[in-house]
Amino acid sequence: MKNWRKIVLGVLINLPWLLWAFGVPDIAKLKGSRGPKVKIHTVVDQFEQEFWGRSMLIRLRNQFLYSVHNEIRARNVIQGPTGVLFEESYFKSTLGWDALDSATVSEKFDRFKNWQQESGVPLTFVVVPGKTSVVAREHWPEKYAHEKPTVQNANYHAFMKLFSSDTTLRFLDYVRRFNENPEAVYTTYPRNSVHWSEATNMVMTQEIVEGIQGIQVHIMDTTVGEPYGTEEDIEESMNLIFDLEDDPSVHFSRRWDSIAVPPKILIIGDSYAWGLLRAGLLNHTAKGSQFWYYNRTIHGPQVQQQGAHLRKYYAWESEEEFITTMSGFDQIIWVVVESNLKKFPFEIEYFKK
Amino acid sequence: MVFASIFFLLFFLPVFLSIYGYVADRFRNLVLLIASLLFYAYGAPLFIWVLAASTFLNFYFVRRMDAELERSRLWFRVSLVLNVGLLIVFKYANFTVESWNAMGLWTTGSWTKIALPIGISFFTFQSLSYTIDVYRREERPLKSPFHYFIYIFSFPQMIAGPIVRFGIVAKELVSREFNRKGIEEGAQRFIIGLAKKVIVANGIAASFPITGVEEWSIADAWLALLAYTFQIYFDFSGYSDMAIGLGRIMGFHFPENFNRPYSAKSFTDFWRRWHMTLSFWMRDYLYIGLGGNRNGVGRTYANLLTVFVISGFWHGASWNFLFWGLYHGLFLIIERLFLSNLLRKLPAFLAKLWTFFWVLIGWGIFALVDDVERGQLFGALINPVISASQDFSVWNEFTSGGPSAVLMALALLLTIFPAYSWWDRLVHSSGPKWWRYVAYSGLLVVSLAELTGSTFNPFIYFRF
Repeated sequence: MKNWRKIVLGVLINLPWLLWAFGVPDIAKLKGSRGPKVKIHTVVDQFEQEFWGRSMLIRLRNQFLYSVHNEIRARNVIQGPTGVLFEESYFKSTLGWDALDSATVSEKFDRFKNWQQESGVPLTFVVVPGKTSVVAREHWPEKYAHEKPTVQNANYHAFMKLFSSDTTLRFLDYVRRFNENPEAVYTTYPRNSVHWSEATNMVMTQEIVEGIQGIQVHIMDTTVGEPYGTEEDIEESMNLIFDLEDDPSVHFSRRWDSIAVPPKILIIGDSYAWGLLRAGLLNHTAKGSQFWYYNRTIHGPQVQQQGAHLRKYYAWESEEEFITTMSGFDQIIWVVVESNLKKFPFEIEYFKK
Repeated sequence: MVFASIFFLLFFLPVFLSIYGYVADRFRNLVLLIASLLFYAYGAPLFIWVLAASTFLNFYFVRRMDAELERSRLWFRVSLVLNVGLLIVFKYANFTVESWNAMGLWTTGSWTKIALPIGISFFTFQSLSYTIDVYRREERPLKSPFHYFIYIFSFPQMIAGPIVRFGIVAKELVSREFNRKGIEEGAQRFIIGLAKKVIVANGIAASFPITGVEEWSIADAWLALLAYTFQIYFDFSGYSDMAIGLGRIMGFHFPENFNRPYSAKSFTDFWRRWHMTLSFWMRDYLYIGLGGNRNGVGRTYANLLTVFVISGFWHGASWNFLFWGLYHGLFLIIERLFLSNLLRKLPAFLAKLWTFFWVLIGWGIFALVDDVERGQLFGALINPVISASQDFSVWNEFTSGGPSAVLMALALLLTIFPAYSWWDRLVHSSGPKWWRYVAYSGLLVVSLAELTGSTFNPFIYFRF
């Protein structure tokens, strides 16, 4: 074999570990859910999880399985006959399969109300419909399309009975609103996303802000274009090579107005609450405004340790300390999607009785 | 370390081949030996010392056997005791103690379980091959322990064969050619083996579990058994292809291990096609050693049964392997008694179908170590009654035409038309040369993608 051929062949076969060793970023990095995290004990484990080219190999396999067998390699993701993608837990919620008993619902609500009363901070509570509550059954996958609900949206109805009787909080119920007005503007759930569209998210942000003194947001003009933000989040988690067919997406420009000393805001919620951050809410509120994701991790423009474990970050020893921290904010916004009501109010394990 | 792992394929092998290819000829054995010791030590660092000491001692005993003609029988026996003793201690001591306990023969003693060194069965048979070949004066002993270490430890065949008899590679251990032809042929063979193991065998194993089923339905039971039949073939023959291919890259010519075993027309024919290096080893070193067919019909049958029981037991220290060997031995005797004549008169496809069916049943004995699980499987195979509690998940998945159905179809196709020659014809028969590179590179990438994307990667023959 000629020398130059030897060299080329030698370099080629060693490329995956050489590029990894020199820290060259992998092409087509993987996104989203990839299954249980593999424990890394040795450098061999690390290599097997990070070698250069790994992402593309996984995407190649995922693409083959999806294109040829319609098999989706992302946890709990399922596709309907018209190509709409869903996350399975939402069906369980809509069909009432995850219903809590009434005593548990009351207990959870009392706990939340106690936090609210003890902290004394004004509160806005936002409940968001899951995709399966909005998207018509003709788009549902066969597995669920013909299932009859035990009690439709059981947890939502149980909690809403209690929330609606509480006059001390501001309550935005998007589930009811979408059900009453299915033709509402911007209510679309993009076909390849688990979350609602960025435009819907902006409308929600605008409505929440309307109830908070000191800040305002205006939607200026809109155009139609490619999906963005979370509008392809399920598709991204599938880690394919080729793009799936998309719905048109509404883009907009916005303008924030705020007074010299805007309010200090705390957002608590699930993944829908990220939408408020993407819309820019915390950038136009007081320094120290924060987002507590599932009451588990801490985020915000001024937070030093982004994503730190909340309880460790504040070194809370008791539930009282947790409430005291909450009372340091001017306004608290809760955002919960109906399928997460079973986890509400995201109790910190440490404080569980 | 196993061949079908990312670390081996994308780090160990490229680094090894780069060094092996760039050093001068006289250093290649040294590179191979160091790599082989590292390869083995990666999975079993403690055992490497035991096996190395045993290898060194065996080399010395065989040298003495060759040098001291009048005492050669004594040295031969010493070597046998060393090799067989090592196998018995490591592989069968736990089983013996457990069996004694079960029979109430040794209830007071305490016993610390002995761990099984990877590849001990293959290691022992290769060592014995060297001893016996030299004792029979069929081969001259190696002059250097260095070459003997290469023979025993070279990583392509050490863990799971093929069992390379000393005579086959004696000359290549000292001198062999490392050239482009060998690299190309070896790489192609390796990729075929990798694809058989990773795509077909692993895929089938993931889709058709044969253990852990609570209540079999008849459909799932037959499917699982059929799937296991394909899985074990593609798993083991794939590994053999990889070993043969790696050897070829380095300039060795290892013997073939499989030749379309599921197209055998009888059990006798099956054993000429399945794990051929073990069959021929057993025939040449054990069956003939016991007298073969030279001492009358009764003794011949006894020898056959002995060989097959030992062969079964060689696969694992468990009663099911022993029964599996007995099962095959009995079929061979029945064929010698009368069945062969009948099978010869049948149309070829019927003889193949008959043999395949009984081989398939044999895999049911082989696959399940647990007596209860085995009983449940065989019970389900003959129970046509269907109830709601039975598991039909595999059958439903299979009939839906998903990946598992495609894999089974592929397995069937590759069994009837052997993978290598089928692929060989497709890739090599016509078209430009670059097409071959593209085809093999594509198969390699798909195999790597399968290996990377799926964490399920058991290797059945690792425990033997």
